[in-house]
Amino acid sequence: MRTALIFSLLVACLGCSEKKESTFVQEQAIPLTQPRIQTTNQMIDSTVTITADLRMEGVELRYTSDGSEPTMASSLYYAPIVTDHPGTYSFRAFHPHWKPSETASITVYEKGHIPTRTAWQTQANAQYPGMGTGTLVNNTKASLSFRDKQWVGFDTIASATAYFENKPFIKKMTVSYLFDTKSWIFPPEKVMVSINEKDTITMDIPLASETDPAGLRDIGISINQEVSSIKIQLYPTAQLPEWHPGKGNKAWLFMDEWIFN
Amino acid sequence: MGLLTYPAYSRAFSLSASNDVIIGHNSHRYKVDLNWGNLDPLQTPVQDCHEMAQDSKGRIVLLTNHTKNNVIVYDKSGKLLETWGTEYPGAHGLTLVKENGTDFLLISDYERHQIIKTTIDGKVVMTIDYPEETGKYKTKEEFKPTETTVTENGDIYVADGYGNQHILHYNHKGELLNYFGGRGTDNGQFLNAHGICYDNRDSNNPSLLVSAREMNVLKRFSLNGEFLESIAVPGALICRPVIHKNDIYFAVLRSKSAAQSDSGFILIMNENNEVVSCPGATGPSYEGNELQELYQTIRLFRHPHDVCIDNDENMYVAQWNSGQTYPIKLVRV
Repeated sequence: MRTALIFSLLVACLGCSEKKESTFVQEQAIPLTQPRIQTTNQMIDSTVTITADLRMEGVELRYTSDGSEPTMASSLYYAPIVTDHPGTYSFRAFHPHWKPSETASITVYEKGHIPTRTAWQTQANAQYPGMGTGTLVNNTKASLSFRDKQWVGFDTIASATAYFENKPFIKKMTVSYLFDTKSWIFPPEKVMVSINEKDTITMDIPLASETDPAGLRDIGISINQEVSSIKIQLYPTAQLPEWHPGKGNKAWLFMDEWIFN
Repeated sequence: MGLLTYPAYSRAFSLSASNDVIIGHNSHRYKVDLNWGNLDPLQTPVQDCHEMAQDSKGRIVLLTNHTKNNVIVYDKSGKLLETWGTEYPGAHGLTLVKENGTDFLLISDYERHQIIKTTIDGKVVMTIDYPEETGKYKTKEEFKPTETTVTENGDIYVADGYGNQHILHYNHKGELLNYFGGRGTDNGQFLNAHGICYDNRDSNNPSLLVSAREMNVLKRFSLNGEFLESIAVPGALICRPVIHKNDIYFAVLRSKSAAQSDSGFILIMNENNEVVSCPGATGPSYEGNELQELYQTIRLFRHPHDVCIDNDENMYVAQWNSGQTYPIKLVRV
């Protein structure tokens, strides 16, 4: 019995020494970089074309259009996607020698009703005025860079009223904003919407966590009625959280589009 | 008992089919050793690993802005040989100078606003202060040198890459002879003149190569400071040019339009200044004479800041803002 044990230990040990690990980085140890995504427009008028790329031999890009995480079983991307369906398109790179990439996503929105007139009660910070007061309703999305002229930046409450002459039925309003904690750009902490000067909806937005990646985000607010006016008030995060280098200071709020569907 | 059929033995024969990944393209391909040079951070810490050079004895000299040990000397296997230096808070540029068979180092310190020349073991032999006589600097704080290069006759060129973007030309005694460049987007100007290198690959026409990092361009000048040409490297924030034999090697701090900031890679040009390999990034491809945008494809490098190529053709990669990591060794295959 004991001899057998010693013998099996010996064999196991032989196994160890044979299995001497390489000092070099192994297959499946390092992830791929996430694919680069481009779209002709993020607001669908008729169709948009979405392009994804990671120029590397042996790479396969796979994607989903329902917001789920792409896997090896998801659709293979082989040519630009032409679509008229709003939604979140997510892409991920796979390769036999490298770990799958993080997911890169882009959301395309249905083009909304444009207000007849927008009256601002507060003003954007002078450094980040965007392209003027119409920037948030110009049906043009911004890039990830906060210096993009499609971003309007606030360090105080953003408050405006949008008027619709022909009283369209609005199902939902979407506020899209930038999330980039390294640049002190956070989600609003509270959103208040008053519809036709009577119904008021208040939403508290949960505080961002340190590990959330930078990106374009949005908040959806259910309206479900005919609208002649809608007053929107967005409160920037008043105090940066404990984990942030600028803790206690106020955060920036950067928005690129308000969409009324 | 069929010992010889035990899996350990069959594995012995399959060991040659290793699972090491290989990065890079064409002539310049490498295996990656992430364990090289790792030290006890409590004993021998690093902050940013800014630059590296190989000395005449074949040792690998690393410059970091950690003032417990600004200079860390390794052998090629990654074994620690010695450390020195506690007075270089902005230690950034490291250039090896050989004078009559003796090694010296030039350290560019952007926080001290000085160039410091030392012996190979750290004794200071000369300092160069801000070039007040040019009239281009109101205070010494405007001078934030990032790099030096030295010609055969001992002349020193300094790139003021974090300062006013001038290239300063000194003789071996540190006396100012000339200056050129300055901040701007004209041919002869720079945005982030981060690195400089004396190019004597064509010994009849020696020249200077200066990386304008924010512009993704390598610029060539005569030794008198006349602009000669621009070599575009779209998408690549190139740090200093490092000439080894007939090739130029660059650490690329990051990819210009990447989602993440830590999106760097390595770039290698051949003797015709064509990009031939980009370890960690897209393979170089030209449409006509135009190089297509380069970008990171694997999350291996964070912010590579300098490369050093040793006499075995292996490469060492020093990184900025990478979480206090030690250099990475790339072994040529």
